Amino acid sequence: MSRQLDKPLRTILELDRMVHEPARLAILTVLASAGSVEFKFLEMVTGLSKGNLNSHATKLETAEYLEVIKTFRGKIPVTSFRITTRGKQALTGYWRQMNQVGGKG
Amino acid sequence: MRPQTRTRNHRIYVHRDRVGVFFIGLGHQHPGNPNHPPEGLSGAETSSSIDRDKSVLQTSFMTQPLPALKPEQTLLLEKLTCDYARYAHRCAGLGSVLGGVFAFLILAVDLLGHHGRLTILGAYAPLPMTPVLLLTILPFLWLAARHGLRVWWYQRFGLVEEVPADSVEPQERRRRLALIVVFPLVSAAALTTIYLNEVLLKPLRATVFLLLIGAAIFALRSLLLGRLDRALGVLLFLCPALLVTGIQMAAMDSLAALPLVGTFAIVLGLKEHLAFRRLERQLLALRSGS
Repeated sequence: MSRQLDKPLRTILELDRMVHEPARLAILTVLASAGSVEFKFLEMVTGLSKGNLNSHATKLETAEYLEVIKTFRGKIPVTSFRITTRGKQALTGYWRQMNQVGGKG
Repeated sequence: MRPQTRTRNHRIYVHRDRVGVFFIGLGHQHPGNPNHPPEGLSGAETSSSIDRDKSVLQTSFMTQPLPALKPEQTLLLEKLTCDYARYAHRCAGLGSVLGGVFAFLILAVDLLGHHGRLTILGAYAPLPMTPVLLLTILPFLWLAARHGLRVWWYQRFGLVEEVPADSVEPQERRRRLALIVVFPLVSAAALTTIYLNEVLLKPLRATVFLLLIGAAIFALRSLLLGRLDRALGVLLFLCPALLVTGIQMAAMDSLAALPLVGTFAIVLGLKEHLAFRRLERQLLALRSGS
């Protein structure tokens, strides 16, 4: 019985905290569904403030889960994000682990 | 959850999902300022109440962390993002409706320019210069309007590009190639017809013809990625190009193709637009948190 319980517990402990945080999970989910996403859209769908979104994006960028693309539209700077291969792998791995915990895996 | 820092009247906790400040006191947090002591109590009174009773009497969150995301919520986020991204290139909505209207307009210009007379397909019957100029402007006007609608309406919440396909399917590649090959072939046919009619194409007309063909190839390669857009692109560029040279289009094929594709584009465009309005409402509801 304890062995049966051990595995999900271990899986929970091994969860990638970088992805598990709800705001970052929302960001990665949106990015994984598109090629590149502008800051404005991410801000709207995640409901995060500019500062929060920036902070989470910086963390994800440091972890190399996303890349930041800075361009100019006329004279206005535009920030976009794109998920990296590593980010995609982390997100897939996270859901695999979550399914294992939920008994679906 | 373990306290990291403790000050006189609050503690900072570090939790798996959040960094929160628990206020220790008797009342609720101040509605305007979360760092303010509870209503009716000064900071000193709060700490003295804690000193009197060493237990935590009431705690309240000072930060509002996002609740954990459920799989169905992530699915909704994925769906909304994918749907929205379609409007970056593939779906034009009102742009397609406008394309459909322009298809009818080209037909009207052709018929009016020839005073309603139908001649055999391929016959040489040049239009006067005014309709020629109008026909030259129409496809470019459509491309500009389509782009404007995309930027100012369909992508106004921020540009979201679709996930690029890892590789283009062979069938899709053949279709794209066929569409682009159509133009040089039709051009050759048109020029042959003109030659057979023993007419010397005027430089202005020849330039406009080449401009339209070149623009069509560019648009089909990089701007018009949806199937409906491509069909519209072929018609809206090719028909005016041929008409400019003087080749009669008001024959069976164009009479059938222009209204058919035009109607199809108007219906599909409206459908796409209504779908976008629904998506827009969902996105706005998401922003307002309902």
